[in-house]
Amino acid sequence: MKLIEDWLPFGHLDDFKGIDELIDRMDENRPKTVLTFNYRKEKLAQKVAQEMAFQYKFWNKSDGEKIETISGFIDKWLKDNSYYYQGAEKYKDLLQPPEEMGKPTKIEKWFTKETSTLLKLLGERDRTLKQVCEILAMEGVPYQKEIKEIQGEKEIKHEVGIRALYNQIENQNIKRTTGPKLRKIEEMTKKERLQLFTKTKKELGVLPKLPLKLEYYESLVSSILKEDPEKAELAAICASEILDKVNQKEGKEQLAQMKEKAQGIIAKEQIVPKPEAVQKAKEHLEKKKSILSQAAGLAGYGLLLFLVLVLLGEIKLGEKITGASTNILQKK
Amino acid sequence: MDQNFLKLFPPELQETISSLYDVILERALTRAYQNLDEEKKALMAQIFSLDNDKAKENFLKEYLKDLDSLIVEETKKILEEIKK
Repeated sequence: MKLIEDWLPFGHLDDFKGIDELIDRMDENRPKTVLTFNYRKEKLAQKVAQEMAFQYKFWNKSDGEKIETISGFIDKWLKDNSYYYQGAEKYKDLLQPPEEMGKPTKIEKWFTKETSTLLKLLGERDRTLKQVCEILAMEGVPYQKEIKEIQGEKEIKHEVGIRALYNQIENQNIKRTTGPKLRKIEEMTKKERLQLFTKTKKELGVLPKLPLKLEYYESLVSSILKEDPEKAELAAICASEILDKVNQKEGKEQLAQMKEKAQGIIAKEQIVPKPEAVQKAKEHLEKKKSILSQAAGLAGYGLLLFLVLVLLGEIKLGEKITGASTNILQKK
Repeated sequence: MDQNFLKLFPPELQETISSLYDVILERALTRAYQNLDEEKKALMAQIFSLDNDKAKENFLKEYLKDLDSLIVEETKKILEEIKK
């Protein structure tokens, strides 16, 4: 479970396949003494599905592939392999009156159906679908989008918008409240949507554990460069959250040391002569804000972000190691 | 660097980060410049001394395509230098 949680913030990098395989292995290694295993597994699957939605913009696949992966994951872990969903299905069979008692009455049928629906609410499938739909709407994913595929002589339409997931919600009460919420999000301005996204991510999202891997930031930067500015805003939101966390415990002394080293590099660099063409090109890139926000600025921002975060992350780790070794020495 | 982005960093680091960004950009541009042949180097000097933003943009797109990857490499180097 810890492995999954560690990998979760980077899940989109391998289309969440690694996490899916790890969940597969959870049953094989199920601890006999943990009574809450099924509940924790259900919650974990819900978290993964939510994270799929949070990372939607960074996930380098087509809309169709992403929606299909999310839908397939929810079906696999919150329906087909869900202790609660399958339990409710089994209970439904148990509640059916035996054949020798004759055909079930309307009331018996209603009671069986309603009890099973209620029992299904012990699981997270429909609530997860609702949350995923809402998160995607906050990111501006269209509600209705179709792609056409030609198979032989037939033209087949595939839903690749939020509606493909919304239609899978079984519980009518949840479905009824999801529709208006999605419409409300759709009517919001881009800024309002992103604010709501930030708030929701803070409440439900998973943050990478520090120190972070450089490769992650490289991938983040390259995806920012390739894609739309909206993605850059999302990256800024994620970054701001990470920095908030980092800032809580950073050691002032270590930070000053890092700053001193950086300033040493800057001072040395200032005396190195630069060709005039380079100076002028740099001035041009710095002067033009529009260029900065589209290319070099974002690249520079992203890269410096990973630089500082990794450094701060390492400082934090360093602090822990230093602290631990001091404690050991003091005990000795 | 865009001021809004800069505000994301701790206040005591903002100035240093802004200067580090300058160093990275300068180093990447110098490497990109050194990769050009003499003719293109002269052209770059000529274009960037003129007041023609479109020509400058075209030059960046045409001859300094790998600037982004050079920025990545230079940032990694800076990171290593600071960690030493």
